[in-house]
Amino acid sequence: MLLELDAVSKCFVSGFFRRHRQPAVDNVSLGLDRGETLAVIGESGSGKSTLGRLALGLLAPTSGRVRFDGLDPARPACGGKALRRRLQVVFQDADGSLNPRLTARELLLEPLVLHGLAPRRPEARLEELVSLVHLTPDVLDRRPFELSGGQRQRLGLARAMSLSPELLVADEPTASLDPSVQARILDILCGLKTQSGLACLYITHELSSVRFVAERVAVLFAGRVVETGATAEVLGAPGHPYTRQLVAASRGELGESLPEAPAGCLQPAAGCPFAGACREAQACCRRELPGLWPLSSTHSVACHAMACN
Amino acid sequence: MSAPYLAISALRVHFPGTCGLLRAVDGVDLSLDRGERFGLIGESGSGKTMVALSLMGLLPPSARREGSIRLAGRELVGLAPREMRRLRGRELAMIFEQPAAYLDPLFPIGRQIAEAACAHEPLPRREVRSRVLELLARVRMPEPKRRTRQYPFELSGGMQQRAMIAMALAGRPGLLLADEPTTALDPTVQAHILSLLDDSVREDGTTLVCITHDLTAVRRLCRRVAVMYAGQIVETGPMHEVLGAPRHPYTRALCQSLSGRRLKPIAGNPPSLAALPDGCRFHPRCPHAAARCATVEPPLADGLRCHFGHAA
Repeated sequence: MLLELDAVSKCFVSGFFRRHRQPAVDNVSLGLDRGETLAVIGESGSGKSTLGRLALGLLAPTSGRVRFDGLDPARPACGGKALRRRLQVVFQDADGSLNPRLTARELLLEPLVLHGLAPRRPEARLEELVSLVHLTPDVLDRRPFELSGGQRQRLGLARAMSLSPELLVADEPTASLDPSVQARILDILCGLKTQSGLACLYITHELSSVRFVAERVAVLFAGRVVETGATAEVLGAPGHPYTRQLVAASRGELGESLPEAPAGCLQPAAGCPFAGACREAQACCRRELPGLWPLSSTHSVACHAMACN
Repeated sequence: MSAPYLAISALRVHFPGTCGLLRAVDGVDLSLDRGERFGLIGESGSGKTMVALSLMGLLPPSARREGSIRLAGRELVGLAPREMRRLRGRELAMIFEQPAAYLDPLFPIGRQIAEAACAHEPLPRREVRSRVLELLARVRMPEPKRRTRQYPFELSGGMQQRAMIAMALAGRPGLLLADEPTTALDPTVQAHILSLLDDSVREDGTTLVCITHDLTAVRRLCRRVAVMYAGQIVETGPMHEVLGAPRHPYTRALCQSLSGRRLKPIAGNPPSLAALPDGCRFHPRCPHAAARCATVEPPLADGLRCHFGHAA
């Protein structure tokens, strides 16, 4: 296992006397092999970005263990900068993650310089990097605001890939981009995966793109994994009512009585976090928290209704 | 035959720039009947938002607008700003992609909706309050009473979008322009907002123009669509025909890019609006392009702007 999350929880504490506790990720266990892509899907507030930051070591878990190749990425003593090079991230808004005062050339060189990997004549390397993400070298002299959204996102991807990482965390890399540009960026991502054996944690709320990039899927609701398995199984025959709802919404099939799912704010004292919005909820759902129940060797669901049948 | 409710003809929006003239919208013709739901599809940069902004009279000051826009028999191009302001909100209203950017962060949303409701017809204070609550109930805002006192940052993206729709509906407009109403939202919230828009438009008989690149939203909301590419309409017709059996190579590529078994991105990049290619604007990226496509610009005939509409 390249990346291993073992019963990881993250609880944000705030307020006077640190009284307000907001659990963002709750007891999540996941594993990712080299060359594999795991898609983490869920709505905003479901904790998927927090999960990405935990995997990168940008946040330390409240409890549980994160291991990247046997090392803890949140502890600088474990590898520090050398470990950072192997873990890279592409953020959702390329605007916010690219320095507006630097040109594309400077932006691409920055990580190489920081890690002491910049060649003496960087031009060839830069051209190689821009062509990796299907851009032309004329973008090198432009600043982020002179690029389109898709070009900016590809620049972010090139920056992440310049250090030849082993794990890429892609946090909604195609959100609010046009479908044709989305297809382009996902195509590049798939290409990089097969070329360099990159492992990828693909965080998204758009199901339509998942089947193109990911072999496995984990569905997050209110910080908990409610369903996980091979992409075809989870999206083809979703077991959890919440996944069924997501799949239906992504197909544009909308039940009028579709419950509004207030992920995050809805936190019952006990029981299944989805019980309040679930049409199939029974008495046991409000009492007991369902564990992950295996449907097949590669597909498990955290739902009482599934466990009973 | 009566005149259409909205008639746009030969609309051009140009920006004089340092690197030449940017032709953002270049000869768009559209006509809509009252109560119709129309979808305007295209990639970012294809000029679809500029069409909406020129309808609203909200183009940036550097823009040059030509052509004619007739709304309910009244010409909007060349209308005095004061006259235009009187129409905005009452005759036509717009919903934007990022509600957070269009709501004032310093005022509770109840006050902002009240402002929109009173802009054209001054109401006594007590009625304002009940009107705001009625509007919030219409957009199915959970706990409307509490929400009126909340600031935009306290609301989720979906609720902000609901507040925005309430503001747009406050003046009972005849024409509602929705610019990417669901792009920034989660899929389940998207579904809610779409069904909400669907119902509100049906109840009031409002004419809807939905501007989006999200084909799911268009399928759900619109009866007729037009596809824009590089400032021009390249294909138009009933929604089921255009999206079900697309004739233009660009529409086909757009429909296929994220469906089917494999990813099929469109090769190349959209052209720069300052240096548009000669002939058909899509020919550098078109798999069927022939010699004629590079020199002769195809006209929009029978709802299609392509030399090989029937053969390809």
